[in-house]
Parts: sequence; C-alpha cells; structure tokens
Amino acid sequence: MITIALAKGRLAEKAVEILEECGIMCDELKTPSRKLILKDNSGLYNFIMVKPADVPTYVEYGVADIGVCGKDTLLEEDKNIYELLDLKYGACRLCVAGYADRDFRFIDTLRVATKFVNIARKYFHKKQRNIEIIKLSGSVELGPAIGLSDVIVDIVESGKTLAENNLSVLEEIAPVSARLVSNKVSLKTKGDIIRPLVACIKEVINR
Amino acid sequence: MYKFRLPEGTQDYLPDSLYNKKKIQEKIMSVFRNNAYQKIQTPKLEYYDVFTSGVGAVPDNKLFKLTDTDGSLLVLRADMTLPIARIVSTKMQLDFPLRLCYLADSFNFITERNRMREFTQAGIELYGVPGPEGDAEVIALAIKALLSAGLTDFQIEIGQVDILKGLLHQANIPEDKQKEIISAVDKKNFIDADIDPEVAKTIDKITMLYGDITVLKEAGELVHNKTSVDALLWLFEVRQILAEYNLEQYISFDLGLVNSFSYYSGVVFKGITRHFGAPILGGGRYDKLCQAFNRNIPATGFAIGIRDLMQALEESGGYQQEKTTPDLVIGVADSYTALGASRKIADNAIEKGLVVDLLYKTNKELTKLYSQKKNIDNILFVNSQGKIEEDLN
Repeated sequence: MITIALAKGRLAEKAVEILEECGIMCDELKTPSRKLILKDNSGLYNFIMVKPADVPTYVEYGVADIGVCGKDTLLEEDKNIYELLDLKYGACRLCVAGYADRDFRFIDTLRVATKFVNIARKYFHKKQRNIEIIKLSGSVELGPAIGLSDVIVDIVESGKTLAENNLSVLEEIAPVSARLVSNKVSLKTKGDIIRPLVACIKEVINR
Repeated sequence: MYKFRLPEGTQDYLPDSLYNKKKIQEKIMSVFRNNAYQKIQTPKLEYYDVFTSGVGAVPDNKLFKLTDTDGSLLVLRADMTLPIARIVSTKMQLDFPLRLCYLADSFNFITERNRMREFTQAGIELYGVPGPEGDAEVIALAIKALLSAGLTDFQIEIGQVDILKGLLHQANIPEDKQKEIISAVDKKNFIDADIDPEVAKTIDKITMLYGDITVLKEAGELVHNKTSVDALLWLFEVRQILAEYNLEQYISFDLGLVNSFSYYSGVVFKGITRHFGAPILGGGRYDKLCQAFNRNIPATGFAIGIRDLMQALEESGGYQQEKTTPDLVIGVADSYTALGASRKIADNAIEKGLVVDLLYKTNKELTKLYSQKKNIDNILFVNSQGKIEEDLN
C-alpha cells in the first residue's frame, strides 16, 4: 500500500483524472466530503488531502510516499525529495510584478510583498538587492496598490488580476507547473507499486 | 522563561530510553571492535578551520560557532569524519590498513526536517585500502551493524559519483552549471540546464537507473568515457566481492546517488528501510579529504544515525523496548542494625550479578507496594533486629 498526498483544489481534480487513466479508481475522491484520508476502490492506495504548501513536507517525512504539487511550492519549501515528473498542467509563471511606469532599480531597500518568502529572498539576493520581505498569505496585489510594498512576487496565470489592479509583470523568476514528487526512501522500498505508476502517469501526460 | 524546556533539536534521554539506546550502540560497537576497528575520541570543540577547508568544508550555516578567549573561532563538531581525518593526518602512525571507529555526538546549527541538532552517530573510517575490497569491507560492516541491532529488512543502496563526474568532465560543463545538474540529479529531476541535449539525456537516464545489478549493465551501454566506465567496473567489483561474502541480498544500486558530491570521490552508499522515511546510514569513499591536512590517504567509511535507527526498529515491530528494572528490592526497617544487615545482603547479591534496590525506613506493607509498582518479583524485608523476612504476606 502507498499513500498519495494531493493538494486540495484544482491540482487534485486533474491528478485524479490522470490516476483514473492509470486504473486507480477512487469514488471517494469524487464525492464531495470533508474526509481527509481516503482510500481507492482496491484499497491499495491511500489518499490524503492536504494544503498545497504542505505536500512536500508530508512526502519528505515519508508519511506520504508520493504527492502532486506545484513547482512553486517545491521552490519555496526546498525539501529533500525526488521530483520525478513534470505533469505539465497547472502551468503559470512566478513573477515579480509592480507598476510598469515606476523605476524600482534605484530604490535602496526594495519592499517585496509575497507568499513566497524564500523564493523572493533567494531571487533578489542573487541579484545583490537589499530587500524587505513583507509576508502576506493572499491578495498580494494589494501591496503596491495601497503603498505597503514596491513590488510583489507571485504566481501569474493569465495576468488578469494584475491588469485589473494596474500592475504588470516586471521580471519572470521561473515557470511553474504541477509535479509528481516522491519520498527518497519510498521510491526504492515501495518501488514495486510506485515505479509502474510513475511509468503510466508519464505515458498519460505525454499522450 | 527558558529554564523549563530544551533548545530545539536537542533531547533528554530518560533511564529506559537511554538503556535501549546504549544497548543498540553496544551491539553496533562490538561489531566494529571485533573487526579490529579501534575506538577513538575527539573533543566536541574544534577550530572553525578544521570544518571549513578542503573538499569536506561544511556550509557555514550548519556550524555552531563560539569564540575562544583569544578571539579565534571555534565550532561544535559537525561530524566525526573531519576530526578523524585531522588526527590521522597529523598524529597517527600510518601502518595501513588503519581502522578507526567512534560513537559520538555531533552538532548541526540549523534545524532541518526531523533531524536533531545534537545527534549521536556510530561509525567507522577505513584508511589506506584504496581498492574495491575497502569499499566492500565497510559496506559489509554496515550490513552487519544493522543486523546486529535487530533490523532485518533494509537495503544498502550503492552508487559511484565518478560516473556522473566523468560525464560532466567529458562534456566540459562549467562549474556553476555542474552544481545545477548535481542538484537536479539528487532530486531525480530532469536536467533543465542549458547544456548539450545529448549529455542531458544521458544524465537523465543514469539518474533513473536504480535497482539490482541489471542497472549496471544498462549504464554500461550509456557511458563511454574512461572515468565513467572505470567507475562502473569498480561497482561491479564491489558487488562481486559482496556476493562472495553472501551479502548480495542486502545491496542494490542507485546510479543517481550523489550524497554530498564534492566530499566523496568514488563509491557512495545509503542504508534505507521501509520503516523510516529517510536514510538511517550514509557513507562512501573520500580519498581527497585528507588533502585539507596536507596528506594524501585513501579512505572510506560510514556513519549510522542512532536515533533514526531506533525509530526504524520501533516501527518495524521486531524490537522490544526494555525497562531498566532492578532484580531485587530490599525493604529496610528504621534502625542502624537493619541498615547494616541490609547493606551486607545487598553487597552479596550485587556480587552475584543482581541489581539491588533499597527502600529505607519502611515496613513490609510499603515494600510490597513498592515492588508491585516497579514490577520487581524478588523482595526481602530486613526488620529492625537485622533479621531477613522473606515472606511478606
């Protein structure tokens, strides 16, 4: 038996579709409920529904053997796990955004509002910029709008939210998409279940 | 108010858990001892420079730093391999093979995953055996140490960092890109770096080669430069020796195993079990480590994380936690005569190898209650005249 950690929300729905194509049928996953631990029909797979940012943590500790989460989470959490497949869906970009008509190159200490504290710190330190991180947990676009920060670091999908708040993408940090991750020990000790599953998922996404 | 708790990543061992920890440690250390590994002890405090020079340099943020009275920078040791390399290089008679072992606490400044900041490791270092028989010896001892501790279903997965080094060298990959690639290999991630796509493809394939001996054969088809091919042949040899030792069932291969890449210079390995989410043991060959101390001595070794191993044993179920219960309780009445007599009885019993617990200023009733609470079957009561009463009912 293996345990699969899924990020609650859109990423999970798509993951369930892929898993179904690989013959893992899970009625429980498709019926709305508040259960956090689910089983597939065969009983061979356990699912745990967790917050997206926690997927790498569950997998690193080995309480979940594999998981699906966004590349943004992996970059932010930087855990010691295997990153086996790019599932290609959930594509978006991690960006620095702000007012396009303002030149922030000469601000000594740039104020950055973001959920992605580690990514932002690493990115700006690499560019040798002094920054002040302002950690927010959502609606980050408000930062520049009400003068809390100079720029934001966030995920940009269509750019609509940015546009509606008069912000634009200033720099792109990294492309993002859903990834299949695995615990480093589980991949070996439960390889008989995980390896065929990974092979099948790879086939499905490359179709 | 900090006086009621411990710093993060440290722990107390209460009598029962310490008893169990020591028992496991003793089993492992006796395997080392019986194979002629001599135990060594080094100070917990060392100069900063010991841990920050050469290929073994520990990242600054992992070092606990202190300042000495003369202003020089000290650290709490981050591992035992570097201090032992220092000792071997500077003050030991080099009659090879040189076999050293340790049981020691080391320190990690940052809090990582479920790793402790103060952690106990039992390990060995084998100096002066440059060939595959040296790697096979330490891997064989790793297997025997885990078996002696009571773990049965584990694997030592073996890799060889020169396979990747050969590929990187052949393709003339610049330093900064090498780092990117190594970190991708460590995550079994596809190579995203801007390099020759053919090389990237080969590295991707090597990364995903893990399992039994067939992966070595598959790798043989993929690599053609001398360094990588020699590295593969080396692995074949190590496997052959371990097969001769009848230990083949405990080993597997992972050609994407990089551990800490700069430190290791050949065979690397990790001990894994399905009862724990991270490796319980790690090691490999580090022939260049002594260069930091102006010596060139081939070396290989490994360390077992005692706490991780204990958790794996507990999870595996085949392991009984024991309690440190005395064998005999002696209740002593409130008199000098009783004290004198009970001491004599206790000393006699101790000489016979029993662990004796004394209860003072007491009566039969309380002695009985006490022994029941502590689960001790053998009880005696010494009355105020110094006479033994065995029947407490």
